[in-house]
Amino acid sequence: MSDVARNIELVERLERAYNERDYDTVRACVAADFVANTPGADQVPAGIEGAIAANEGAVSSFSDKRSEILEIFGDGDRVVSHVRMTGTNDGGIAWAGVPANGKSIDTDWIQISRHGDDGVIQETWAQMDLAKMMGQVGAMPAPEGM
Amino acid sequence: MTTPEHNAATVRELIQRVLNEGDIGFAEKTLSESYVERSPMPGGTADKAGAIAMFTMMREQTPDMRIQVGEVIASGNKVAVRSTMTGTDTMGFMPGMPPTGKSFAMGAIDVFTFDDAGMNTEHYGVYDIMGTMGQLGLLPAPPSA
Repeated sequence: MSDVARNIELVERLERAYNERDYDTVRACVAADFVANTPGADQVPAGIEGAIAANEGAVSSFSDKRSEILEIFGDGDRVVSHVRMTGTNDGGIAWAGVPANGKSIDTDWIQISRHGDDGVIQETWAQMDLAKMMGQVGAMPAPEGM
Repeated sequence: MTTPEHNAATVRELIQRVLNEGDIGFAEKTLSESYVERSPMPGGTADKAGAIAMFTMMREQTPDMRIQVGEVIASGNKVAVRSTMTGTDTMGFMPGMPPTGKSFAMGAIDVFTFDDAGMNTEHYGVYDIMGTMGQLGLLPAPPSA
């Protein structure tokens, strides 16, 4: 198996583990001190424990949260994944002051991960369509024309 | 037959010529007639004409816009780009929004698809709209809990 194929498989395993809240597997896929270059990453602890806290936060907002990889490819030590996230706001989004209201979300993110020689993720860059999600839960007016 | 390296070079040239320099004609040449925009602007169409209208609108809304490419990852017929767009909000961040006069830096990740001839057939992207609106002071205050 090429390193790229191995890294892609690791990202797929990691997304499944986040869905299943299997944090032993998450910790095996991501370095403890990995660097998350993601808007909002400064709101959670550094490293993997912050990413786990963010996933737990999402589960408390959307108890039926599911993520699904729509597209994935890689080159060298990088993997690009396009992920769709769906769920129901039955827990409220505390950091945005949004109460639980039963509204459905369907949003996406793109992540670039950098993998070490052993495949473990050392750094990520991600952008998530938070504006879309905030519109869906009624916390942000939709742009004109939508 | 195109290559990932050639596709990556096309994306760099598209960003530089079309978005940084306003050479819309380069997009006319590079986008396939069957182009599909998966991230159309609000109210825009998802075809080649809609994408070109979006490029034109971006240049109009932020005349000093500049996209700095952080990295480009190409594999098969896909090219991913991580970038930061900087500019000054002199015309309204989006149509209908009041200009704030503030400068902003918006993170982005884009994915482009190419056909065998090296024509760009598809694009989607995710942009830090929330963070940018925060920089510009345009976010509605969260409802008091």
